[in-house]
Amino acid sequence: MKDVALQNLLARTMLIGVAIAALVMLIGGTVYLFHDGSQPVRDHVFSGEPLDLRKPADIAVAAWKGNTLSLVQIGVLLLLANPFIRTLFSVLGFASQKDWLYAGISLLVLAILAVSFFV
Amino acid sequence: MTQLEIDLIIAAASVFAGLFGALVGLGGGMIIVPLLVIFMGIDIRYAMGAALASVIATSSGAAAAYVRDGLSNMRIGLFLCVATTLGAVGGASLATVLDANLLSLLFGIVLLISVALSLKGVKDKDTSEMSPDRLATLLRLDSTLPTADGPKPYRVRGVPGGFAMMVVAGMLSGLLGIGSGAFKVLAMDRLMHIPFRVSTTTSNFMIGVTAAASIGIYLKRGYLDPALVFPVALGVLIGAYFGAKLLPKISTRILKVCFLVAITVIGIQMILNGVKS
Repeated sequence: MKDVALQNLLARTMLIGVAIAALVMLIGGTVYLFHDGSQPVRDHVFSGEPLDLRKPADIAVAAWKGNTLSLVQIGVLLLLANPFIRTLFSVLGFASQKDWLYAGISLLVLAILAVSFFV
Repeated sequence: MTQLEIDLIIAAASVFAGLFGALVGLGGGMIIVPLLVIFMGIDIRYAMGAALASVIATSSGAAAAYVRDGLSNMRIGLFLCVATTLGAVGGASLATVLDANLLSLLFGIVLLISVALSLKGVKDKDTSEMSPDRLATLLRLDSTLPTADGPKPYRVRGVPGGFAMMVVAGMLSGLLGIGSGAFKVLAMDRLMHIPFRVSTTTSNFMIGVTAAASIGIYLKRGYLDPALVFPVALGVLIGAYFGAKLLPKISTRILKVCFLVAITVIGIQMILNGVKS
């Protein structure tokens, strides 16, 4: 893959990725406000979000059960998946150019992202 | 006030932040955090989480255009992302142990520095005739800038200094939930002599990847309140989109001066917030 082809691929991935994430957030947010919009404002003193809004697996389970806030959180997860995917495509793109130095550098960035997210 | 009303107000404030962030080149994240903290009394950690999510959204949207047009240098971007992501992990970990007042104080200071940085004029040095730098050659960072007269070559220098500055930029991003674009541009433009247009667009590409390194830590610590994240992220995204459309059409000089004065006042308010309690 040429640099130009890689650039086009990255650009398209970024746009589609953000569009999907924004759409899920919009749908989740709208449904949430439709159901719970008339409730008084939640206290914004920091206590940390409940545990089922912190882990991807728990968020998915709760969203499946119809928790609208969890659906919004899925949109957030999709949003933060974007840079992961972008970096992964960079690894693959550089590898296909046999540019091992930059495939390695991209892989290092991907590893740092993965460690920060999963550890 | 109901949840619907507050979310609509937050969404409107976020559109405003995204719009003006794009017009003055500060980024929506830097503007929405003080608005949420000062005017709505929202805890700064929730505000930072929402802002960081919006940073990923706008970075991806804006960077897509620049990457496609070949303006951002992907090699420079990815190489420096090693520095910013490491810094971001450190910064986000630090944020989890500092208290909200100290975060507010630091935020105010960084906001004022960013305003100062954005006031400095742009002067690109012609580096095409310079002798190649050893590290930049090894890493193949030299490239060309597309111009009206065809591609114009540039050479990169000061790699270790730029890399170190990027660790700092990453730390600030993770610590305060901002894109820290001003500091990334500082590293590339000032320390590495990369042309300004390449610096800003490459910074845009890097901001999202940097933010991703700290947002996982924010999520685990419960800083991401979905009821706050969605109006902020969607609002800033919409505002930034129209800001970018509007930018070439209007004269931003007076607007920029007024706005930077307002931001300075807000920055001082954030500092006072932190010192007061």
